[in-house]
Amino acid sequence: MQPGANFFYKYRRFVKWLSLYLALAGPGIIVMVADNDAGGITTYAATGAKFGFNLIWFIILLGPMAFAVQEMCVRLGAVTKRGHAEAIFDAFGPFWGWFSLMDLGFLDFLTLISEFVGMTAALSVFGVPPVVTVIGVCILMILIVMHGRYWTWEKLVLLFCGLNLIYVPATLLLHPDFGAIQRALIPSFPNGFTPEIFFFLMANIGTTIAPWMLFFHQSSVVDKGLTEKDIPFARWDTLIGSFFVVLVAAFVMILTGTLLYKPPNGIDIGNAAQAAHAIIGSYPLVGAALAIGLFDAGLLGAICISLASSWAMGEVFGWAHSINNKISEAPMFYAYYFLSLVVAGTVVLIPGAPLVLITLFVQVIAVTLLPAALVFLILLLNQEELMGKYKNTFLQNVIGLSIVTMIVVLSTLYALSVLFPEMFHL
Amino acid sequence: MSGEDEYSDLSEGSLLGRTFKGWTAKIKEINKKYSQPRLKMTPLVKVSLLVLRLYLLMLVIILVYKFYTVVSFR
Repeated sequence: MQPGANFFYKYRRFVKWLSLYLALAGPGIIVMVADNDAGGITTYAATGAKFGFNLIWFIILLGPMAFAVQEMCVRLGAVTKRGHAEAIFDAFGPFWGWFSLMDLGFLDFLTLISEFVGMTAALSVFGVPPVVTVIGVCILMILIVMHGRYWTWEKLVLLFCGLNLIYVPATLLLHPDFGAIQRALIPSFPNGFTPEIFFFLMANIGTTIAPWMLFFHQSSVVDKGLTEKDIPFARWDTLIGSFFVVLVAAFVMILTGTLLYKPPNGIDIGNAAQAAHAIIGSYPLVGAALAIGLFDAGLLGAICISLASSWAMGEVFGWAHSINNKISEAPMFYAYYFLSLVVAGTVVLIPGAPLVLITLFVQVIAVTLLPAALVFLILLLNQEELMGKYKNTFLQNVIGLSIVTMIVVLSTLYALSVLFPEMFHL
Repeated sequence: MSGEDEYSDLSEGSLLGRTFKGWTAKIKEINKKYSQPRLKMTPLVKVSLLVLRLYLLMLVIILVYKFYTVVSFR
């Protein structure tokens, strides 16, 4: 074959692969970008304000970790054609099934409240009253799903994922010190390994792997109709998503690290909206971008979290539970979705509601579900009868178990540090 | 039939009762459907589930202790 023809053949093959990938892409990118939800952006912003660029290397390590976990969900969903909730019921029986389902429902509801807290705080930077934000978000989220087509829903949500990248140009506007960023890529703790730095590391891990992600990703793979032959594309999708999660997290850290960090001890910020308020006076565009990004992060989180619960409930209760169904075809699935949204939004509007307590409680409840969901995932991925040739290899088990053990230990310690800060000298 | 009897089946209590019975029946159906776990209960699986139960029990104890300290120091 002539060199020109060979190149043309490779080019055609690549175009074919890319068009197939673009048709199958979605769940991996959505779950990963939505992982940078309101709580996530707040954690990264607080980390940047407290430690500058010093913990960027740690965030980069979290990307492969998130990929390893989510890739297992992809395989499980594509092979079994079942969501995570149904898979747990089927494999482990009603006790673990109900435990996971109830815990997921409760945790997702609390997380949904924290997303609304983030969204109302973000738009308050522009003077939008919380009630307008809540009503607007509920209407928007109803409009996103009401046409009854998974494809349309996915492409709309991918647009919101694109908006999450607003942090990149916003940070570049500040002309950050790239030399310092490069030096920060080498793992180190410039002020020593203090209890405070440990708390922030745990918080970053806590926001990177959340229980709803496992349930959402597996269910969306099933709803999209991905099968075994689509696994390589879904892997790429998840890999690209994990790249975006790290990119956004790093740029949020660089943004607040450039503007708010004062060496050696940095400053404490309560949430990302507070950072936006602090920045918007001197850097209006950057402050506005931070607030818009926070709103978008909360919206993406709310979309995925409410769907994760609705899919799980639908799977177990046997309701029609696909976004391809119209509202009249899957009334219970959409009723749960709408109701959770409206109730969570209403809680945020109640004067004196313990919102800070709820936000902290989310971390504690998460550690009651996360270890169980991860252990179930590993056990399911090792069942030859279930997974066939897609079961975990020895290397995948070693990597998976190491990650799961680390996540379980660190997220448990994080929950303990939230409950008993004095134990960790915080 | 008096008007009161005619509407008695639609009263709030009856509607709630029917809903409750419906949900109970559904839960029983789900429990029956998944009563036999499909996962092969190898020693490794059994140990993993036992460790998970102990872990969750430890978390419950910690949460109860936290609740107790919050209430007693208030």
